[in-house]
Amino acid sequence: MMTLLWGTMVSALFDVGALHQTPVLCVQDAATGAPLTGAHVSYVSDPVAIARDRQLLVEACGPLTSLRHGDHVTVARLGYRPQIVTRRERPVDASRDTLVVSLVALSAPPGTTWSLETRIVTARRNDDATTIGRTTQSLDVSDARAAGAGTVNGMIAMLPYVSLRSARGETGLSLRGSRREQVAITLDGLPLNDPATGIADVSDVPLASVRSVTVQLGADPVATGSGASGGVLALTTGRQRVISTRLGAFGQRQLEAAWGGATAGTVWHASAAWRDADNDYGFVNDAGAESQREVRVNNDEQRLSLSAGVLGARAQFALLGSTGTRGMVGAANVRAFDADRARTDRLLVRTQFALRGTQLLAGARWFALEYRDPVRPALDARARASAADLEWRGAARHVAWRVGGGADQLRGTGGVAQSRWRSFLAADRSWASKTNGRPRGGARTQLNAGLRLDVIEGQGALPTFSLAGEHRVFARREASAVTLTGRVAQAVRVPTLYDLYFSSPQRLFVRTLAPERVTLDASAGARTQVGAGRWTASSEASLVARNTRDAIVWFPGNFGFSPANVGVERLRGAEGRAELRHARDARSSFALSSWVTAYRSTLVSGDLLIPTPYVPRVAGGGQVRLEHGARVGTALLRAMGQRPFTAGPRNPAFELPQVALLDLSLAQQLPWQRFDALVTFAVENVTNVAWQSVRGFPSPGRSWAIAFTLRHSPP
Amino acid sequence: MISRLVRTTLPAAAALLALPFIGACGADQIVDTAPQPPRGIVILDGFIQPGYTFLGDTGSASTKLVLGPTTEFDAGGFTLERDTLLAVSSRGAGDLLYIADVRTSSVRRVQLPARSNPGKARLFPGNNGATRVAVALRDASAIAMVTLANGVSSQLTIGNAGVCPIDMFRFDNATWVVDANANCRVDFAVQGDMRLIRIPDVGSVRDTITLVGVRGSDGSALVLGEVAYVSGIGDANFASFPFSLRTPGAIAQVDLRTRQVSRTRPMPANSFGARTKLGLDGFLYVSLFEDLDSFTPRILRARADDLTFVSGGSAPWLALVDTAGNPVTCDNGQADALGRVHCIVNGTGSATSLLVFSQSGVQVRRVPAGQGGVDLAIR
Repeated sequence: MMTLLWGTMVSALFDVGALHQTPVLCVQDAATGAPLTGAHVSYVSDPVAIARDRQLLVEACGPLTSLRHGDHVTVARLGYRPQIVTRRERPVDASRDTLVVSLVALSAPPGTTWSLETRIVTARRNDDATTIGRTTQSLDVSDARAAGAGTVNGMIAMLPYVSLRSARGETGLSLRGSRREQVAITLDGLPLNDPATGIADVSDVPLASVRSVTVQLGADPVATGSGASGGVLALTTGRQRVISTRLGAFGQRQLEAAWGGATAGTVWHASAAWRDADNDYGFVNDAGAESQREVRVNNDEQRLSLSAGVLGARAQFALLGSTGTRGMVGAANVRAFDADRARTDRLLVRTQFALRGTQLLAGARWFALEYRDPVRPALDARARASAADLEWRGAARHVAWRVGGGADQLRGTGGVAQSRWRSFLAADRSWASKTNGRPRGGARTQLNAGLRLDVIEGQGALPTFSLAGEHRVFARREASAVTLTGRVAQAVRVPTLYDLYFSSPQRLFVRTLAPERVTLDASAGARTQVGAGRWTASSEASLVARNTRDAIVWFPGNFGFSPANVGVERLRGAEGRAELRHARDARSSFALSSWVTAYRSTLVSGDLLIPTPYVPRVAGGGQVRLEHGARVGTALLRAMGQRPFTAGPRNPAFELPQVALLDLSLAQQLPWQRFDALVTFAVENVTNVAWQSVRGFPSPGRSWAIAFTLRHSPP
Repeated sequence: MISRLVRTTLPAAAALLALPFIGACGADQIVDTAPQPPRGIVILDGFIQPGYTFLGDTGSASTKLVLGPTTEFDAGGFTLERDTLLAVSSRGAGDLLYIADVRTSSVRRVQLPARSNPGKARLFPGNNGATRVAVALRDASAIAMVTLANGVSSQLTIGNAGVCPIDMFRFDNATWVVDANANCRVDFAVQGDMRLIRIPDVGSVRDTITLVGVRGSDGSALVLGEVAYVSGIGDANFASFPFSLRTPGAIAQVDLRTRQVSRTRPMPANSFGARTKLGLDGFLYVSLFEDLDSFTPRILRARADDLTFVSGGSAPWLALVDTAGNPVTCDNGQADALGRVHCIVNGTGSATSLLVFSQSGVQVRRVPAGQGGVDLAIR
């Protein structure tokens, strides 16, 4: 029998009776596992008593400095439900254990069970309702740095299930066989997608400001809303104290720093990053009359990013600004753009306030693009896009609710002017069975159902829903478990402002674009986890299907490409991942992981069967990570099968060939007083494969980079 | 009477004029003066998956000859001359010349000067069995002469060939260049009337014939005997919305012997985009947009002698209908020797269909013909 657990204060129980050392508390997001800084800790001798002492955790982890025998601890953070940590049967071994408290976001529905037991920090499945039934993977920035990542793009490329491509500096992301505009990217929950194009570019988000990145496959209509048909990539910021410099091939230079602290009961942080690269790598130009070796020109880039944030007990403010210029190199054989430049500026502001047990959030995004053609100044162009969001969220009885609205605007050269308002109402609820615990194991079932109604100017009312469930059977202490998952959802993607402009009457036909509707997004799968001594193994596999009606696809008009609602896009596929870990001791470990996806994504339009561009039928990757003492070695393999690059019928002449890329990195940790130093040497594309992620735009061959990172360690 | 004369004599005259060129790059069979059905239809897929789609006069079967991805090919038109297909990619797609042989279904690329922004290619008479192709280099104000012999290509350039040369032809020991007189290097802004420039093989004196009333950043020329027909697409402001028309397209009839403009025929008011083909029935076929609001494609039939429109209805354009009598709009029209109008239409997903209409304008054939079709020619 399913039991509603709303209102149940789930607590981590512990006893600090024999306390000889100060235990460490780590706070993390229950959904993503991302560390949370700025938590407020209250010490009370009795749950109903007034706090004897309070402590602000500047970092995600910190010692419980005021803890006494018999204390209860309340952990609270803005935007999350507080947790009480109280007595437990098993004493804490402060020399060995770390208390990990997972806080559930206010936006997550109550009723989900989560485990807050005292344990050694290990990777764990996410138990938040938003991840129920979904394939989810996270990567921490520390692991990414050790594996050679120097940018957010590099970090994303290490994630499983992710297909990343780039041509002129901007990045496009595909999840679960989607088009790039069908992926939502968020930064601490704030959408990064440009309302003009629907595409989010994370190239200018400084790595120093990022704590983790999480990929969630499948439509996310309730939490994210329009545009998340293929999945969500969620970036979370961190309050690191770090300085890092990186030098690499093709004139790559990078310097970034982040610092944070606590003042007057608030936690603050700031980061800055500067990056410069020539990107003048060699390539074989086979697009002309004869193949010849050339060097990329006008492919340089310069970026400057700044971020800042303040987190108090009742309010939070965050800002991210960036500016970047780059050469707009053309396709391999095209010299007409050798002088063209582009500048992008971006400013994101977000605030949130605690309001009588609810949360009020406001955000604004501003994007600017300037294109300069020195040879033909008359072709210079600029575009300004902005978006504003306001949201109120909370929980009432058994339901988490969110209500909000906003507006998008676009102004550009040539009289481009589009704007619209939007609003939404969302609610979801979770159910969980009582844990059917027995001495040797147990079982637990969780369900989550969500509804959302978007009302968008010119698009009408757009209802969507999701329904997901998991049944987990586990052995004692959940070291081994099997979880069956299932999820169905409907989603929507409204036309972007560019879509609307270019579909308007100046094009061949007067037509109104309808929203693109995912009529079915379904997945079913299983996850397994086995732990035996020092070995742990996990695996997951899912079958997926997605039907999209009125897909918005750009096809030629009379003066260029214009968007249109075209037929039905069908995706069928499977995805899986396996991981094996062995920890000999705290300083030596081995991890092997691999993933694979197989998708058939086809647009059906009349007699045409058009495979979705840049979605390989089969893709995969793997990672080997060896940690011994202060050294970490990582090998990362990415492979993609043939993938079409046009919106035309399958034709081998219009497909990119299969490719396999191997990256190697070696990291050496240097423990200094109050600082952890990390020296990383990485070689990408070790085998020097000539390949293209976007047709016509060669990608670099073998390249190297060396990075030096100093991370402040609290005493 | 006149039209019958034109229908019967002009194809024969054209065939006779073409005889000296036969052998340069493939050879047709002996031309029968009796109207024959076409040997085939060639459609250029200019978008998405660029290439040529070949169809027969009957049936729905088609074959495709791939040219390259859109980063390497972006032509909006091509020329068919004696089983040779010529097309170019602009500065935005690498300045390439594509020479395809219909009979062998093969294609060859030739690199043209970087950033020269080729406009149109024509087969010119070659020497000693060599193939010679002329290419208008819009941004270089030049004509490239590409010679192909024994698998090797060589290039010569004729400079100072107008502000923006877009087409060329040979007549009377001279190369004639159509100058769009537009700022093709920047934004294709029309600067004045189009011009026809005669560049003799010998000597340095060049003649320039101003084609008053013929304007446009693009256009073409075709030659019948001693007469050239030069068309311009018109001039419009597309920089802001709503678009505004400055000058509709027009066709100028030029007597090449006297080097005088015989007459000029403007296209219907409000129309834009006149592109002219010579029908195998002897008429000129002009494809354009009815206006800049709806961009409805229309096809006009004009007599070659006086450039008057022959529509059979109240509107200047052909009244094309399907078998149920519903109006049909179509683009890139050209008639075969039997007087049947062939044209293409792009539907949802840019799926291209070939449509054929009887002499009375009733649709008699509709078959799939690739995707992203932009031009058509009848063999």
